[in-house]
Amino acid sequence: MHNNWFSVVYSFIERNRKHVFILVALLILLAMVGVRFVPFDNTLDAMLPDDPVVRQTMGFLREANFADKVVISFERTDQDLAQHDFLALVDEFADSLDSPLITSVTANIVDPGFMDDLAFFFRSAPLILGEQDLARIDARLTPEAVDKALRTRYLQLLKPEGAFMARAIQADPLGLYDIVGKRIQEISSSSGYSAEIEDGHLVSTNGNHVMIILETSVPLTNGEKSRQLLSYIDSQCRRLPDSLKTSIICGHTHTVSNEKVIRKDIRRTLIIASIAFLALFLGYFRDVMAIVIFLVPAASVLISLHLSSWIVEQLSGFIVGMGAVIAGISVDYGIHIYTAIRHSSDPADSVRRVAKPVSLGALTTIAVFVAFFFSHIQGYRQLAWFSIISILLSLACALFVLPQCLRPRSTGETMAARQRTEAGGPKGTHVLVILCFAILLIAAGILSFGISFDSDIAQLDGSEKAIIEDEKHFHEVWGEGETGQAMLVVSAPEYQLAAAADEQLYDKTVGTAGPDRLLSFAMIWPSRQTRKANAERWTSFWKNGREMKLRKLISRKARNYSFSRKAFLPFFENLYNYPDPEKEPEDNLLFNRLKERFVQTRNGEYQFISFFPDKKRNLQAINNLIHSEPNAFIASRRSLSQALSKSVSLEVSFISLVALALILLVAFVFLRERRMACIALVPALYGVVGLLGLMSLLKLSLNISNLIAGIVVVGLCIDYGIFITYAHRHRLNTGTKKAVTLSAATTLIGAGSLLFARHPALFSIGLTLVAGVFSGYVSAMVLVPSLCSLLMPNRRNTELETPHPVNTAAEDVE
Amino acid sequence: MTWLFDCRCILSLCLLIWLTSCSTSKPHENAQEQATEEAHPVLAELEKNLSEVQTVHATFTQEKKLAILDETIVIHGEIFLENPGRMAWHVNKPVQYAMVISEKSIRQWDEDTDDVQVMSLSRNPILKVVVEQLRNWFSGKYTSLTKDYTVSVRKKKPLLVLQFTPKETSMAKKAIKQVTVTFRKDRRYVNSLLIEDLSGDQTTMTFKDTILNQPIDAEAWRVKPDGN
Repeated sequence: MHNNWFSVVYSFIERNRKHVFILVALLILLAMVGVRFVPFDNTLDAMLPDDPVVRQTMGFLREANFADKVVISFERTDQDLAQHDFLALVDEFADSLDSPLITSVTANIVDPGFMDDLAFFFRSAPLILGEQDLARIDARLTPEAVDKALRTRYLQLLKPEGAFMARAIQADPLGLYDIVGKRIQEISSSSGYSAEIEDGHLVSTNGNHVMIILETSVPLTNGEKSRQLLSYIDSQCRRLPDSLKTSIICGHTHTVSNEKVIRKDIRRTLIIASIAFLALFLGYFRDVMAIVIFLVPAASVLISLHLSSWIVEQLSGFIVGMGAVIAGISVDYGIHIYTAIRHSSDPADSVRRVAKPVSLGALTTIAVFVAFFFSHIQGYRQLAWFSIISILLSLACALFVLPQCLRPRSTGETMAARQRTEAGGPKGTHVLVILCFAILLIAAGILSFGISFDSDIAQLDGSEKAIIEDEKHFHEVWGEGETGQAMLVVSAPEYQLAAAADEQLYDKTVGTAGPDRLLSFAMIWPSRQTRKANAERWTSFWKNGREMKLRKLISRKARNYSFSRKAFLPFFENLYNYPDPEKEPEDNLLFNRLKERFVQTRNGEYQFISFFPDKKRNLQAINNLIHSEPNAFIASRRSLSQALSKSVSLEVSFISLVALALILLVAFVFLRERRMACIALVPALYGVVGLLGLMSLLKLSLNISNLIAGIVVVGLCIDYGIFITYAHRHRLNTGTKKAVTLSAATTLIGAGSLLFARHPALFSIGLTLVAGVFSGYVSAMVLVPSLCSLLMPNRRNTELETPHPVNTAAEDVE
Repeated sequence: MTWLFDCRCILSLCLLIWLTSCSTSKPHENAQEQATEEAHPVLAELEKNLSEVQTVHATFTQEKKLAILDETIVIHGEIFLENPGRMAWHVNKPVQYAMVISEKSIRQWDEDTDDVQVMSLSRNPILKVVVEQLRNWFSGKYTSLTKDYTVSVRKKKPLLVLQFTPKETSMAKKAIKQVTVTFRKDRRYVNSLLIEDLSGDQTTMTFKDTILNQPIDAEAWRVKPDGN
């Protein structure tokens, strides 16, 4: 059956050779031209699991207010440049920025109305202070406390700062509104940055750096616009004198750099792999036509790129970066066909003979990639499409197109003549080999327990060194900021609903993270409902005899410090003169800036953000509290990392199981012998355990990118096992080891080319593949023959399904 | 996407800075510019004179006439200055109080609390503004004051008197009406300082026994007597 349809297709192509060549050439040409237009997704999105925490956090971070900010830090490299001239140059630069991509520039931070804006919050104390605050105030309405407060105020007047404080003392003699001031200070000084104001500019503490902030309309995910934006800023920076050095800090630099690095890596790895393939083929086969073997996977990967991108819309750059690896895997089919033809006088017959083991090899590899379809990670499913299409195209080209380009070189020597029995060697040697490998397996197994999973997504950021250095320097100059802060996000379709929900959560969580550690907008501006309730409570609090009590106390105690009778009238006059609790101070710039930090609108919803220390204890406690709140979630580096770790571990375990089941199914169905199938799986076992042990030894960790490579290793190594056991079983393994070596060499070239990649994810995949394939190859070459000799008796060729001696792919490579 | 965390930090930094900004200057008005322009040669001369001063030690009497108080407060103390950036302010009466300002921090002590407080200037922006004002007035950095004040020469003889009026757009305008500075005959240091605020409060500081360019005793930089 297999032979029938194969013969029909083969004959058809043979008859229409010219047309097929033209069609294939046209397809390759079109694919080459069109590759420029294939859209790549250079974000990490495709590589992230479909976990609610991961998606929510990443989506939130991408759309957050701060995502569209660009910070430029200017460094004065020439100390002779006076500070005034330094600031003037920065201002000049800021004024020169004129691009539709930049919506605003903040260089000089001045606001004459700041004091008035701040005063509004003090006037609003009755709306802000709650029941507990009033209890604290009540405790201060004693003769002793009032006397102490007035003495403190008097002493303040004697100090130099007293010159600026008389009005403040009159308005708040007991410092009751300090609670509001403290909260504003907490919010404003908790960022962890160190900066000073000089002539309205943001200046570093050493005075050598000035910062400006740009707002842009360019989303982080838009690579093309990000490139335009950075190119424009860069061109403006180049016009600055040598005495200034600039650092651009924003997410856009990462977007552009990752794209650049991935594209460069793809080019670099393909060139390296191509040169290595050509050198190997031409050097080994010493035939110019061997180039065609290399062209088979190259063309297949190229065409698969287009077909896959039609299916999945936008391929992840990481997946495309694995093109060289896939080429390394699928080149094996061409090698087998080429060698079969070169050692036969009848190309059609020789191809027919090797078609089955070659197809079996392709099938087991495809089985591994099919398992990726069961993944919830989009990138893994993309890899499945890309690889399977590449392998199928490669297989089809190797079986039907490649033979049309080659001529047989055989001298008529029959396959049977070249068969010889496997040199089994003494039994003791095999036992020794098995023992040694068992020890190695145990050692690698023990080592592999020490391997860790690195779930930090920063390791997938392949931005260029200069960008990372700039950011490091930025943090050295300006401080670490809020890198240790997590965000509690509450959303609702209406502003007041969101404010109320945020306030409720703040009240619930404040005891968890510590009242001085959870920063919420509710601290300084509660919801409308609460403001009204607070105002009513405040009025009732003072009118309920406390105002009179305080008047008397102050009147009595103020004399001790020469305070005049009317000194504190402003306080009492304004006691009930607070702003309307129903209204929001829309003209208050301070209020608006605070609101911008804590409140944002996304997709018609209002999101209130609170900040707290990103610590395990806090995350656990707050997670428990918001468990029943569908509109609240935490965005934090630690929780993202935890979710990634959990989700990817589950994902990989599941894919591994599916892949294992599929491989076993394919192996048992096609090999038809349990013992043979088990031995064929040994290289896969060594491949995985070996790579884990080696990575542990090299102190490397598993991550979300190299885990997929680990699964691919299984599919590759099992091929080696199948060929060796198959050849041993049928006593056809005279050339098996050479063939497997050549196949492993091509795969190692493909995977090894990734070791030249700059992107950490691609490098990591390359390293995993090289380590795994090498371990699997060594076990296939040394251990499997020993296992076969001891556990599996040879079978005569006549037992095979074909009447001819089977010419396995392996045996032809001599 | 970790850079997004950093972007958020940058935003909070902007907010922090914006919140703590207390100094401001805007385009000058013509009349104000003219007054300052006329005073410029005098300011330049003063700056030159004061730039030659490396250390200052003087006793002072400060009189505060505040509407909030029934009585005028009279404060007696000593001031020490060492360029660049070090300043000590010791009050002996009516309460013992001391403050030492260095480049980055401020230390203060008073007999009432008997506590030495150390504060970072970068973390206390309001205090930093106060300290900067003190430094400017007492160390003679008058040119930098022209950003926020219009300067006019009230008298040249027998003693030079300059009047500093906060500009309309200046933050100081919210509190201060004007500052009048009278210089010594040799114009090498301040003789007296009068600060008038908008509510009518007045603070006068008169310096006596001023000693220039003499080494300052290490004791001057201690805030707490027999302490640190």
